[in-house]
Amino acid sequence: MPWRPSWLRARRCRCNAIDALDVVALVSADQRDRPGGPSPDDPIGAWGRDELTELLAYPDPTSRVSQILAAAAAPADAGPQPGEGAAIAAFRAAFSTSGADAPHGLAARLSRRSAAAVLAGGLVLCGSATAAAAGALPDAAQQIAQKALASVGVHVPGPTSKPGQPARPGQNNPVPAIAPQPTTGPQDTSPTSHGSEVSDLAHSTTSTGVDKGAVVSGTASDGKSQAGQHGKADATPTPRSSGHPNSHKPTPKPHSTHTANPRPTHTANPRPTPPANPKPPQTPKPKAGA
Amino acid sequence: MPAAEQFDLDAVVLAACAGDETAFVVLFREVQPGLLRYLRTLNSADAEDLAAETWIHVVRGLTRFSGDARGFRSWVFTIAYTRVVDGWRASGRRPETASGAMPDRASELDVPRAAEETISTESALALLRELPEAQAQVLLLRVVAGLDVAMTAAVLGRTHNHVRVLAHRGLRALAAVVAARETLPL
Repeated sequence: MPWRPSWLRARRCRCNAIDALDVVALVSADQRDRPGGPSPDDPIGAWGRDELTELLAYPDPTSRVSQILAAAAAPADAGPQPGEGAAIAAFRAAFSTSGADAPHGLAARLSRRSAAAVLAGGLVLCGSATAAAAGALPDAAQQIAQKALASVGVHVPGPTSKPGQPARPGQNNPVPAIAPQPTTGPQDTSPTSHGSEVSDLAHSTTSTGVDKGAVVSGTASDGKSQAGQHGKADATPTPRSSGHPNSHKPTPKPHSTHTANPRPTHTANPRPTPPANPKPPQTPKPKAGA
Repeated sequence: MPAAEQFDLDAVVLAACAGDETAFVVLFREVQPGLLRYLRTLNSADAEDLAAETWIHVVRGLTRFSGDARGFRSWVFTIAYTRVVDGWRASGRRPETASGAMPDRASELDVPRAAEETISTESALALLRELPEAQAQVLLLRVVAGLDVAMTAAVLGRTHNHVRVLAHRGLRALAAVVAARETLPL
């Protein structure tokens, strides 16, 4: 046992850990055994050059240690090795499960990423289509979704014209809030032609006095006027009649009539028009050419 | 030099990772002898089972492996070393080591005494088994498995210098073991 300082002896353990004396002893022994002698400039590098050939030649190629190491590393017999069958079976099982031609490594990772991207895109499309069908998208997005889905034959509600008014599900082609009304029936008569009709009647009638007023007023009011019928209330009561002989509903004021009819055509005509009458006119309406 | 090293083992490793069974057989026959010797020296009772477990792990991770033949050999022995340590932990014991002292009794194996006599592989492994576990690990990985210092250090989780020191200490211990046996009377 070489001499060791007390501080090193106290810290010396019995395990295989390396201490400072191991390194010093090994460096010294390695340099001493080398044919060229130690290298004072690089002692660590000298003992660190331990390759396999140097291990097998320790301390010389003909030593017993070298022969033992050479025997331990002797090449095995060529041919099947113990456990080869089980290993091949495990190899076949592993690659039959994953598939011999299945992509692996980067290709497999890319395939998984592609599948994930396709799945995410599909979910986004399905969600957008569902929201579009429910009319829950903003107006701009709803309009785009309507056009896009209409190209593939799917009808979804369009954007609402009034902010905050949700579209009704199932309404494929919603009608705008202000839609042009069909021009049929008595509403087809424009105020200009109606006025001309009343004017012509006033100038061409042969009636005079109360009778003329009753004819003109009845034509102008589409038969609602009861002018000239005083004392004849029980003759032919109109639906608006309250049953009282003296009950007379005055003709609506022009400005109130004008505001009651929201049709844009009224704005172009400063003349008041009579209110809409659900009943067909009593007086036949002359044609424009007549 | 093994016969398999006469051709490009790196290409063989790539082919085996791609699922080529023939390439896998070549790799198996290249690595299995050293693996069995390594395991028999460290755990003679369960060496075959440990080797089988090692190859199962290798096959499972073969598609994820990327490297050359040297890296593949280091990877296989890393798995084997882990299997050995797990076996020690499961059994609650570690292999008997000389703990720095040279063995004072003769081995049951017939170690050749004449320098000219051929030494069998099993006899050499039996002598390596007499060494402390860390030194035997380093010598086995360096000589039997054919790993360099860096790979041996990676397998054992030690530094390069630690591996070199353990190798030298193992060689000195092995020389002492052989000297002690040769001095014994016949």
